[in-house]
Amino acid sequence: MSCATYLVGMGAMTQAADRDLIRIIESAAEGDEVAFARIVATYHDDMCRVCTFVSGEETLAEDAVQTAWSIAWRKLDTLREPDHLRSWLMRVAVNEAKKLLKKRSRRSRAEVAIDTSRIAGGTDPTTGIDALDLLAAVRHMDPDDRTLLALRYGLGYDATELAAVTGISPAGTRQRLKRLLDRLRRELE
Amino acid sequence: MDDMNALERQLANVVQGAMRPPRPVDASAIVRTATTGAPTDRLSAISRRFRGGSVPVSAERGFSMFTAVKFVAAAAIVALFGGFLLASITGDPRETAPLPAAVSPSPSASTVEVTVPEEFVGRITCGTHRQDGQSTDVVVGSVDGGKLIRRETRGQFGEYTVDEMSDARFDGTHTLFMDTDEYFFPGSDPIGYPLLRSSVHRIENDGGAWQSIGSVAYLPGSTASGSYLPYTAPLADRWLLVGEGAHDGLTATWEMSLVEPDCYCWDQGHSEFCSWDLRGLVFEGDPPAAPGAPSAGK
Repeated sequence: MSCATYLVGMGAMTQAADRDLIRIIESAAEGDEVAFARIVATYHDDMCRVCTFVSGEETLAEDAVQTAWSIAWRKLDTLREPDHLRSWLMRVAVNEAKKLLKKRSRRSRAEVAIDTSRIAGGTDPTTGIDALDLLAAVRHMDPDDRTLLALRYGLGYDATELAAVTGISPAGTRQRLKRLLDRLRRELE
Repeated sequence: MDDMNALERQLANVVQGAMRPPRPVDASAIVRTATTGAPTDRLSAISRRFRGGSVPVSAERGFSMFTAVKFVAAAAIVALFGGFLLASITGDPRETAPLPAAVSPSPSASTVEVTVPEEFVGRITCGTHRQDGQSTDVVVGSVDGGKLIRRETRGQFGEYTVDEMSDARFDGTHTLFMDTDEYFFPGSDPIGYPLLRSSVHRIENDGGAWQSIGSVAYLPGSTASGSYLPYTAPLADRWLLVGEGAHDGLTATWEMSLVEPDCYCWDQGHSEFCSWDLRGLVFEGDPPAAPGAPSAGK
């Protein structure tokens, strides 16, 4: 299923109250396909965007996210905290993308293709780092690091949400991000 | 993101520029695919089959458990484990085919209630309730000036959730308890050391419990594509379970096959989606006793 099909507007559920969200999740877990479709409409595109950034392949990302929805359909009733739906879905999708990436490349540190057309080159006067050099460094990172970057700086996840996706503690996530930034600084400054 | 430093702000610009822009979604098509491809359907078909229900032709093609060859194999297992006769079973002519010569007829066969080993299938998934256990490093020797360490990990356990089970007697709480010994040199390549594991798989449900105890050695050398396992992880585990309580007097054997070959229950972030397909037999009594081994020198 293509991530690029234009039929249903995004964000249909983003303004839903917590109670509505719980009701929608419960209905979907009981097999209500309409409720499940509302969840899909809300989160699918972000999952695809992150998986594409992590894997560098849009087709792979679409396959991974479709598999993630099949898993979610079967396991939605195991979700204990409705607040964690977004990070839970993202974790399933990213794990599937990493699995597919591993199968295809058989290397955990594969350089991935990332679209550079929307990035303006040039050196940032504050950091002294060229944007394209920064992007090149990102392309060489392993998928776990790219996941952190996409979620933190692409979608604005906080440490708690990052922890829910990566499976490590919020403190561990902050540490990992700090180490990642330190490494980038050392490599590029 | 107000508290970002300059590098983080630049990184945010780069990452947001590199991620493709948001697009609308065809949710109904995604839902159609997600809800029709679930393994639940597949397992339900097998389950119906074992209960004698009608199974669509398309489903039968995928799961040919009752082909003639497999039936003969099943009959041989009957002979091995129980010595019961199938001759009194009526029904499909395939199921009353002559048994292999290995089955010895019993004089009382016609008067004894025949119990056939029943096959069951299921799928279980590593749960979130698990404990890593405590590890102690013990120096057990030295090789070429380097210390050989045995890392003794005790008290690990993990629960599985049951996704599908064709036989309700194997539903319930599945817990794997394990203790392991790993041998390695400090500072050496973490990939490629042996692991010895003793474990108990226990299933508890309203009707009673099942328990399997076993030890296994994993050879050095990772088979995982991500190389995060230091040993050759099995793609399938075989267990012999002994019934307790309401299942007392029954024995079961099953093979657990990983759905995804690189999955590992204790791998953070992956474990909840790491599933095993089960295929087993439950039968009355015990397997044949171990034969007496010949004495040394004979």
